[in-house]
Parts: sequence; structure tokens; C-alpha cells
Amino acid sequence: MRSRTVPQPAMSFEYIMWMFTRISGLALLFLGGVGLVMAFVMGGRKLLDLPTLARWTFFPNPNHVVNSNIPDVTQGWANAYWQIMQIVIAFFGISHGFNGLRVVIEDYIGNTIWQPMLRGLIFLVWLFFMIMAVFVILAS
Amino acid sequence: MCLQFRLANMDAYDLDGRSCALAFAGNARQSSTPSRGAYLLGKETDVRAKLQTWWQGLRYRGGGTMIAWLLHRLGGLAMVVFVGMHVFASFLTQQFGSDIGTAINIVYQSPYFQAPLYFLVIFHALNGLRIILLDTFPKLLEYQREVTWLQWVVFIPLYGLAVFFIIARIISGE
Repeated sequence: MRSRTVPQPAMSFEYIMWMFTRISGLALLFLGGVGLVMAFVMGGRKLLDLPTLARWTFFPNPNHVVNSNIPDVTQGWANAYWQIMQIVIAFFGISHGFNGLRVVIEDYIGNTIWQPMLRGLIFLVWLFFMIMAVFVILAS
Repeated sequence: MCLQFRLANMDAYDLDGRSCALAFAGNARQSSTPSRGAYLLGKETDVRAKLQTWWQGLRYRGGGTMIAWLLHRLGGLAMVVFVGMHVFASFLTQQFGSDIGTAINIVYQSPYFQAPLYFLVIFHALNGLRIILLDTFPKLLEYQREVTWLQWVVFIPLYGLAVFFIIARIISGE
């Protein structure tokens, strides 16, 4: 197997989303690492079951971790820092996910009339989930 | 955008708009007809040729990188469904006091759901990291197969750790 060089692609929607997928993937790994370390620092190591740890890692929300048996979560999590962290995680996660869904769908439908329609539909679903996630974060 | 698939067929490594399914069908069909995947665009309606191409596509063996591509895609779709349902359920619980969130949490927290989910999530993360690394340093693409094996070497202990905690939870009965 031998690689070959290709010219720098021009700025297009596909190229921007290609970049975004990589950047948001790295960002999610980083944010997940921050969440995991902070979950341990804030006492998660004493209550180490995976569902709880996943909640603490990816969505440190008082409303979220209240489902687990951790006492008095509002002390650590209910502040602007974690709300901003959650909004950033939600933005990267939901955008990465729905962009991936778009790529998969467009792989199988090809360049037909359905492509712009499904793109619009996925955009609307993305918007719906973004608004819902931000609402859940800010209202809890 | 299916880089791994294209790498398995090194003639098409670029960023044009041609989709993975077309590359897939095109490569499978290449020996029989020169019009690569043209019928998938709706130009040809021969069902039999379609079925034949599907069968050839299914028989296509891309090796370890193809399995990685498949698992990456499966894991991504699974996460969209899982996280989407979870966010929606938490919204319903928070705003309307609905029981849907609690109901699906029982499913999500069961070890039989957790084990495959963690497999897909950890694999997706590691595989994505590999794709980013190899995209950033294209010279390494020549060692694609070895890197894929290395990825499994990293993956197995990580997933083993997750499985260990899941099993420990079952044994302790909590």
C-alpha cells in the first residue's frame, strides 16, 4: 500500500464539515477527560459504577446525576462553569452526531433530489435537539 | 467521506463528493462493467443487476480496516439513537414529570445493554483518534494495517476494564 498526495481541497461545505468532525471529536475526547477527572476529584471514585460515571463524565448536571445515589450533587455541579461545559459538550456531541448521520445517509442515497431534503430535515432535527439540550441544562 | 474504505482501495483517496456506497459498489462492479456505480444514481433500474451488485458488495473483503469502518459507523449510529433518546427522555422527565426517562434508564443501566454500548463507544473514540492521526500525518497511511492492529491492542485492555467493572457490579449485586 502506498499513499499519494492530493491537492489541498477548496473550501466547501464538505471540507468544513470534514474538519469539524475531527475538531469536535478531539474536543469531545478532551472534554470527556476533563469530566472524568473532575468526577473522580469530586468523589466519584467512591461510587464507581459505569452508568453513574458516564453521567458524571459527559453531562455533569444536577438533574442528571440525581438519578444516581450520590448525595447532594447541587453543591458541586450547579454553577455557571459546569453549565457552560455542558452546553459546549452538547453542541459538539449533537453536531458531531447529526453530521455523522448526514454523511451516512448521503453515502447511501447518492446525489439525488432526496439529498437537499434530508439535509434540511437533519438540520431541523439538530436544531430541535440543540434547543432541547440547552433548555434542559439551563432549567435544571 | 469514507476514508478507510478508500484506503482499502487506494485508487480513490481524495475528497471529492463521491460517496462511500458508490465507491463500494463501483469497486465490486469494476471487473464486470466500466460504468462505476452509475446505476445507483437512478440511471439504471435493472433489479437483477442491483441484487448482483449488492451480493458482490457483501462478499467484498476489506480486511481489518473494513471491519473498523463498519464498527465505527455502527457505533456512531447507535450513539445518535442512544443519546438522542436519552436527551429527549430527560427533557420529558424534567418538564412534564413523565416516567419515560425512568423506564428507559432501566434498560440503559442493565449490564447487557452497557457491555455492547461501551464496546461501540470506546471503539468509536479510538478509531476516530486513529483516523485523525493518519489524516494529519499521511505518511503513516502506509502502515494502515499495522496501526489497525495496534488500535486493537490499545482497545482490548480499555474495554476489558469496562467489562471488569460491569461484571464486578453484577457479582456484588448492586
